Amino acid sequence: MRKLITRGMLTRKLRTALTAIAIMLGVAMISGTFVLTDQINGAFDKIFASSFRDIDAVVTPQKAYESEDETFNPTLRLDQSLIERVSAVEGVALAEGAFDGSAGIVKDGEYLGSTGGAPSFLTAITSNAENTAQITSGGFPEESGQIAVDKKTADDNDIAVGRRVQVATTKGLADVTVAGVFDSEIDIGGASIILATLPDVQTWSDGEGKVSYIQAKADEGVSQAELKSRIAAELGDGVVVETAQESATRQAADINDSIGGFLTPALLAFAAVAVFVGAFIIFNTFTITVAQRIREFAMVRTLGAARGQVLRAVIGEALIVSVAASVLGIAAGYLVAAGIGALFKAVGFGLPTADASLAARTVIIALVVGVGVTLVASLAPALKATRIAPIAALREGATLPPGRLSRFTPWFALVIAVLGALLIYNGLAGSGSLSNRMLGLGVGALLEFVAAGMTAKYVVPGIARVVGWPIERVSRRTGRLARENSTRNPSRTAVTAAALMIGVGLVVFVSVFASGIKASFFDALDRSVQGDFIIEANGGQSIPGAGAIEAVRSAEGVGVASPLRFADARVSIDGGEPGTEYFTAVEPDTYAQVFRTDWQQGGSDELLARLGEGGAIVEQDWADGKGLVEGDRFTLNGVSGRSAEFEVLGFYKDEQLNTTFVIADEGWQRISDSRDIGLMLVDAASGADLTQVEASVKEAMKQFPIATVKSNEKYKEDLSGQLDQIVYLLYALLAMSVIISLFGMVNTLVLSMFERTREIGMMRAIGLTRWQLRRMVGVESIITAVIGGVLGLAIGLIFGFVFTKALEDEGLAFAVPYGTLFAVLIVALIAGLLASIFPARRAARLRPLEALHYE
Amino acid sequence: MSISETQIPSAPAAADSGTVVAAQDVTRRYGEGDAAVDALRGVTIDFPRGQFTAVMGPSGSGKSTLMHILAGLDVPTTGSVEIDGVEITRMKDKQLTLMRREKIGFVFQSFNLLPMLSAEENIDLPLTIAGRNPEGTWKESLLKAVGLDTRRKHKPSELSGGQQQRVAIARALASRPTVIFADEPTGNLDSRTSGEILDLLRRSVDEFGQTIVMVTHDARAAGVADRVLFLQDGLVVRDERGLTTGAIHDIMGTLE
Ligand SMILES: Nc1ncnc2c1ncn2[C@@H]1O[C@H](COP(=O)(O)OP(=O)(O)O)[C@@H](O)[C@H]1O
Ligand SMILES: [Mg+2]
Repeated sequence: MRKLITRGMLTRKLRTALTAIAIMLGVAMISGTFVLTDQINGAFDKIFASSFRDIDAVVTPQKAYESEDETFNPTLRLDQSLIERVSAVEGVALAEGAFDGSAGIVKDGEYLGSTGGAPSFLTAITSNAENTAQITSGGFPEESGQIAVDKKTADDNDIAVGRRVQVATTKGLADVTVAGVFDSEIDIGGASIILATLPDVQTWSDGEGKVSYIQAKADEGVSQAELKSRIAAELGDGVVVETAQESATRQAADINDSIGGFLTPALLAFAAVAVFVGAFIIFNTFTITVAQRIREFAMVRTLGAARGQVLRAVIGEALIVSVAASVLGIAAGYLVAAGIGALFKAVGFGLPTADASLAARTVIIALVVGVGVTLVASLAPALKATRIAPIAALREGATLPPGRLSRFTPWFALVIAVLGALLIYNGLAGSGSLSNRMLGLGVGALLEFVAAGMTAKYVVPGIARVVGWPIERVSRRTGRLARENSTRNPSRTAVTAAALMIGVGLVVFVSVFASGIKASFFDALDRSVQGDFIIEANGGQSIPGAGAIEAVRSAEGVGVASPLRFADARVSIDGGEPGTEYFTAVEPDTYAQVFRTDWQQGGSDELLARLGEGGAIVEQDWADGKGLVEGDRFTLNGVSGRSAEFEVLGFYKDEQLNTTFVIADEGWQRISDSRDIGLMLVDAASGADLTQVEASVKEAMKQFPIATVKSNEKYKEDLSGQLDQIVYLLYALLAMSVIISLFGMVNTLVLSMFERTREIGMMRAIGLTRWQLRRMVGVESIITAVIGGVLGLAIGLIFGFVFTKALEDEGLAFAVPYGTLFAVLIVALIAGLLASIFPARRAARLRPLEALHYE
Repeated sequence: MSISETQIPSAPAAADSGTVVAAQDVTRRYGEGDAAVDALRGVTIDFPRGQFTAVMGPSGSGKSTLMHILAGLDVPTTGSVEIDGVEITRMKDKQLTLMRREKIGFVFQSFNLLPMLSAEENIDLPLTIAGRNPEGTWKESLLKAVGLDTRRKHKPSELSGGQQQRVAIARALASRPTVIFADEPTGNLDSRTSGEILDLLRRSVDEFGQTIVMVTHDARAAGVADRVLFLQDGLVVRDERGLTTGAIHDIMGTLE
């Protein structure tokens, strides 16, 4: 029996290889996800470990709570005077302040801030700077007005030691000289790093007399733990003292949790889709080959083989293929990791990576999934093989008996579809933890794909007729034959097309979702924003405070400039469990002039004027959820630990900014000292020429290159561009699934050609040219692919419709991205053509005579 | 750029008077060196228009090889083959394909119909491939002649073996080829059905003037032919006309 397995595989080398590729690519996605996230984790571990090398204890400010988004929240800092007190502690050899801020370089008037979301770090030089930075030319900055720049930024922008540049800081532009260029031990992704002396960094960051943290070295013979407890005893409350080891581990874990907690499951979801598509192909391939081996199986049954042996022969083959393919897939994971890493970098989400390594966990999961999925997918065909009666050996053209349960297939599909719908419903509107609901949502969607795949065979002939119609107009002779070929085995075509349907369906869904977001967000923006310009900081940073507002207001032609501050804070209502909420702090009088609030319950702009120190207007849905009514009070706890009470004055509806309440600037100042701004809305004075005003505002903001002045149109355009980048990233991740389904199409075609060898010989004998044959195979493949594309379009649109309807409350609208839909069909068409190249060439190369006598 | 527009040079008018297929000193060697097999060792033969020729001989004598070479499906090692006065042995694949399309019909032992097409569509296949429109009246008389006008919409799987072979014969006749080659057309059929098929071939010759070359090892089948060629060890050893089934049987007995 073992011989039967291996012989079977060897004689069908090509088919075995194509099946293996389908498994391999899916497994590679899994393995690649783990390899990449391990690399990222490793990088952060290394970054923190090396930055605290030679350090024994670290003092950081005490945070009231862990903010979820620190971009707009005030950064907590320590008073510089604490350094003296730490130095004085018995056993401290050295204590020094460290300062982390952000700043970009301006070269010849051009801002070189890092692209996209990657940060631009500004770090004060400390005694152990060489731990993380190796000078490649020049030296570390030693005096005020000097900086060192990371090698990548320097090389990319042609900056050499001695060059005069400017740094764009919170306080504006500062002239500096590049004293050195350094290489970072780790790949820092898309980030840029500037090193400068502590006083400079303090000044530029609006943090005179402050430090981010204090690091201390111990005297000989004093342990880290001992040093920690001595410093803690000296400083008391209000600060956190950790050993360097603890601090490095905690900070790395914090970052890795926030990145890994999102990135790993997200990438695994795409890997799951790829594996799922692979499963369709494995199922199809094994079904076809079992059908082709009927006589062989029947023969061994007449020779006395038991059903179990036949089952083992098929499953055994699946096992061998899947183990080999999974091992290759695990190795190919390195390439996938590099690919996804490069992809992230390309769209500006570059993350630092350490050397790639293979964890035992990666190998185990990849093997289990690769082998498990293959075995499950090949089980049904294997069981079918066992039901071949020995008598089939004697019959020419025996076909597989229809499954005992096959007449129930539509009912099974219905049950699966309903189950999937329930899971999706629960995911969208049900209860349970978010991650469980998301998982349910994903599984529900996959079930819908399975149901669609199971029933697709019923619509295959119909769609083929529609798709084939134009082709038959163009290519009458081969078109008709191709269509007949594509529908002669509808379930085979259906499953092949279904594999493509999955990738296409998800692409369409993403596209529908994105266009829904765009349509609704832009619509709301048009309705609410009354100004002419929007000023925002680059790369998710914040606009430097007071100076920028003054600069804009004094620019010629500016009527109103209104700063919006966004932050999160802990909110507790009636002493209940506090939750983190996003909110906006506004300047009421200017805000009312540039922003039209969607008032509820009879509110009006007059409420804004009454906000004062302790008033808040709250978002209607949030208020409903929390049971807040007019006159209720809630407490706000800022990161700094300061808290203040606010009274509900009125209600508004906000479908886009997703903030839960609005307070006035006076209220904001009760919990925070930060003057940084999230967005500035600017309205030109009436009668002013908009182009001139734009120019003058831009001129005024030149000293704050971290911010960009945009017309409302440009703002929307840029936002839409950013959204598109994310969408393209998702497309790229879905591409793997589409590629896998392409291999499935190749495989099905090769196997079908194999079956039809004699037919091909006959047609060639009676006058079918090679070219006509190739065209026929090409059209057949295109029809299959377009069926997959059409099914994918349908299911993607349905998903998109359901999801946007479910999120209608959030203001999401359903919008059909016609352009994308058209492009998807064209891509399916091209995919079909590509998939046919190899099988068609093989078929055309057959010699008619040999093909005719093929057994 | 339509393929069907590329015409094969038409036959000299003189061909009408006689030969449509001619083989000159044809040899065919399979393999090389010690393992080489000479399937044909010098065959020179003519086939006149409108004649029904049976090719007989013991198994392995070279019947199929000869037929394949005459039909442009295989190339002789030496020698030449002319169809309608045109030399085909040096043609490229495309030219050969077009030549077969225009001039040659095939009937195979295992019918070789396309399962997804109806009887009628199978009959139209050579014309479809050539991009020609089926001539209505010719197809109708064909369907009638093969007795399938009531089953034209049936798929091959819904037809008996004899009916399938009749469809195959109609398919071969549909493009009015210069010559039809049939390789053991009754090999898969019972004797009664075989009789019907042979009768049909005979009538194609008599009624439509079709030239047929049929390979068979069944003396009864060869009996309906005008002429019987006997092959032995790659050579034509006898070329007889007007033989009875019994005589054919006797000759075969001497060859085996
Ligand atoms: N493709 C081939 N390769 C090698 N030898 C072949 C091949 N085809 C036929 N032969 C040999 O050539 C000889 C003639 O074969 P064939 O023409 O098929 O005889 P027949 O049809 O009369 O039985 C036989 O010895 C056969 O083994
Ligand atoms: Mg033979």
